[in-house]
Amino acid sequence: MIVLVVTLVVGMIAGFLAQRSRLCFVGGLRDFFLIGDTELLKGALAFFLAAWLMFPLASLLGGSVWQVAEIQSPAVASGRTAMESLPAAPHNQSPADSFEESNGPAVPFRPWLPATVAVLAGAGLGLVSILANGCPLRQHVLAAQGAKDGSYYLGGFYIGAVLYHTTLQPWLSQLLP
Amino acid sequence: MRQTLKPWVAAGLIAVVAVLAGAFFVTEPQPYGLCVACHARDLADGTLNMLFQFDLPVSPAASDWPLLTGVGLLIGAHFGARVGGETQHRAAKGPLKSFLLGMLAMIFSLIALGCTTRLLLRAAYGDSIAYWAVGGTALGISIATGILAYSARR
Repeated sequence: MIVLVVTLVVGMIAGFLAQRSRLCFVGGLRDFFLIGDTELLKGALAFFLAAWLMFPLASLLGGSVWQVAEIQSPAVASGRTAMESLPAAPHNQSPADSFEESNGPAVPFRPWLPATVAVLAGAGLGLVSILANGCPLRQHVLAAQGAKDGSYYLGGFYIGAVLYHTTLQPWLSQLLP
Repeated sequence: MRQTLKPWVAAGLIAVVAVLAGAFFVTEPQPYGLCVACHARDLADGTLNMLFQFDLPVSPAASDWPLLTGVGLLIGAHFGARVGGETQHRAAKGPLKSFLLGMLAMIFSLIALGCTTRLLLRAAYGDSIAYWAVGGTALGISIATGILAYSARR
């Protein structure tokens, strides 16, 4: 229950700050390429640096433990989150499941797969975000400002989540075991 | 449209809040303090699960209640727009295109295990795969910007 409230509050803070500052991570690189403007790029770098400083600090303050050793653990190194690494029903498997305890026959170990999937999916995300004129965070802000394009984007966004998990993901996890 | 807040100040504050929230409250697939796409997936799937008894996958952090990050973003941004007098009713120029782009953005985010925000968080966390994903995002941005610049010059 408290997670519900916390995410709502975090969302409100982030939404307000992002609206007042026109923050967009994708726009950072785009503005730098097109007009040489570095304001948004500095925003993305500041986000990264602040997070990088805060993770060990948060774990020192008593939050979830952050250890350097955890980075080398297979689950994190493969990029799979705790949810997607559960060896449960097939619809919970992620595409990069190669060296996980699987319920089927042994499959060849392909260490290049997680990085390749990450690069391709990241490229797709970057491309789509530029065409839509904003990263997902910025799209929420635009929709809240009244731009109807943003509202249609959000419609596709949320419906896309349901569609992905019902249709595309089982297909992908069979394609890339 | 006066920009009253420097982007790097806003980004730094958002990062601090996101990391703290992720460390203390929204803990399950670390780091999960703020992700526009994954929390949207939890909101959509979790709400459908609660209303229609589906069994759509959600992350462990959202196993009891759906995460309301998207709702909070809309509320906060709308409040910010009102404060600055920037609310505008712009008609949609390409509704179908925006809808499809939104769907593709969600799908790519879920395959890359994070939206642009969470990919930066995961890279700051030390997740080596996130480095590749951020690099891929930069590559995609470069390609799309090149396409836009080229088609604008024609």
